[in-house]
Amino acid sequence: MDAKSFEPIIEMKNVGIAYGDNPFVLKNIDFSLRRGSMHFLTGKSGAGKTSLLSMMYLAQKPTEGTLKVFGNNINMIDRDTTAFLRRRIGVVFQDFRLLEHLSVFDNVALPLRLRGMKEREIRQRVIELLAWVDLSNNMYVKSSDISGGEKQRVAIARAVINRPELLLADEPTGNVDNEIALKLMKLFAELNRLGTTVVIATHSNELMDRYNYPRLKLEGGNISYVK
Amino acid sequence: MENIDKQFKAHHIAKPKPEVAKVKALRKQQPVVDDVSELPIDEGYSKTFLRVCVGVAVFLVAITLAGVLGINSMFENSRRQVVSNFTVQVLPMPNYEESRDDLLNVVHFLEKYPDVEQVSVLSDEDLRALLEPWLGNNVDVELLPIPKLLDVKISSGHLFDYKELAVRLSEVSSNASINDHNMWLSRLLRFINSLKMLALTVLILVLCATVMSIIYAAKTSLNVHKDTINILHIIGATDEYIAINYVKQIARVALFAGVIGMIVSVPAIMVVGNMAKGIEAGIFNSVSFGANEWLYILLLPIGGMLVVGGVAYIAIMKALRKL
Repeated sequence: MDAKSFEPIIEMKNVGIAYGDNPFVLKNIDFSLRRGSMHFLTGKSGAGKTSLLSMMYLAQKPTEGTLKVFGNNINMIDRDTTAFLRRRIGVVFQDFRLLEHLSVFDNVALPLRLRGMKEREIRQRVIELLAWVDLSNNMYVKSSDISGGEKQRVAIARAVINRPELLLADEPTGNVDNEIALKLMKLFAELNRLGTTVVIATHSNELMDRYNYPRLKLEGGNISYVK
Repeated sequence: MENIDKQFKAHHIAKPKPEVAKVKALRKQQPVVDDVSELPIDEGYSKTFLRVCVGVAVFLVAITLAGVLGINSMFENSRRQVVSNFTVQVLPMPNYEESRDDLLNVVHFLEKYPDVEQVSVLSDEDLRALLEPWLGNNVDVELLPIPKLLDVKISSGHLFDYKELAVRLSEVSSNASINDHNMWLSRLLRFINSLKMLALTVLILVLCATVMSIIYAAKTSLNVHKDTINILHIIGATDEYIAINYVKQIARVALFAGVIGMIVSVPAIMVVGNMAKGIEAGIFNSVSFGANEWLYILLLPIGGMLVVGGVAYIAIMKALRKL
């Protein structure tokens, strides 16, 4: 193991975020995510879960404080470096955020195409992954024409196809039934076992009680660890 | 990523395993939806707007360019003809022998003059032909007190000093004078330059209008697809990837529209060209529109595509940095 293996994947020091002239949503956030860890991120609605996640996947910069992602201070990096760091992160959104005009196949293939992978290899990988998530029959269907549960699986397949170092999931089980929720949690656990750092934002106590992962709790704009 | 299927299989995820044969069959399966871009240009107003703008722009540029090239060729033909030839007239003297000697002196002088290639005296037949429109065809030119005309050919590519020749010619014969075409040629040049400036102004205006249209279309498209761009950014797309993706499509649209504009312009150019040839007014019937000129016109759609692509790329890169 080299020194990089011990470097936190996410490191926040006195991080705060505010939108425009509004009060800070998050204030004085201090925490770090160990490589290979798996956490729930919890808190009431409006506690700042989505804001915290959006800083972690580099969609937002902190208004104050220092945020390091994969050891890079995000206030010091250019747009291209930001893009390359994002390729190491998989994100599953509550509202899926698929490119609805593209087919299921093309949505899942997107992260690989961004990396400039050869089409033959992309085809091989995407077909295997889609077979694994039971979407083979809908592979070339437009993603706007599939059900919510199927969209969720497409979103997850797109997030993991690149074998990300960090997987962030925002309410990933919010739109699916219990059976699919369980399958998804098994998938996340397995990815974590394979070395991916996982953060799952949820307000479902049932989900958190079922799985014994440490929790990061957001409350009053601050964060705390809950075992 | 390693073969994820095998990894999950190895770790006993409670999930049906894809059968090898099934996956193999899927790999052979062809997509049933169209090959669409990640950042599509809208099939409605934007695409039509762009097609019309580029098509009209290429048509206007083709017509203007054809005009400039035609005028240019006409001027070049005239200039070549005029610059390589000039006329010397020698006034007759009361005595025939004196006139003949004077003419011979002038001819000998001109033949030895630097850069003069050939000196020929216009024959009586030539003079008769020149006078025929005014005096009819039964004229005895020897009885008329008209000057003898010398057609002098000079080697092209040299700046000929007519003033110096006139001075030295006057020392040889006081009856000889040069018909200097440079005066009217320079006026023609000024006129042609004015036409070129006018054409250039039209080209610049068309180009500006096209550039503004492309910028407008690109920005509109970016606003329409803000969410898509946001998703692409989050997945890790660079601004350049997004810009190139858009430019590829817009360039295809521009090439198609440009070809249509060019095709429509060809008959218009041919009609105007034929009309110009029909004028038959001295040097003005020397308009020539050759293969090179047609090549420029045929290359316009590609030029249009490059301009559209370049402008769209710059506009999108700038707009993306502000997102």
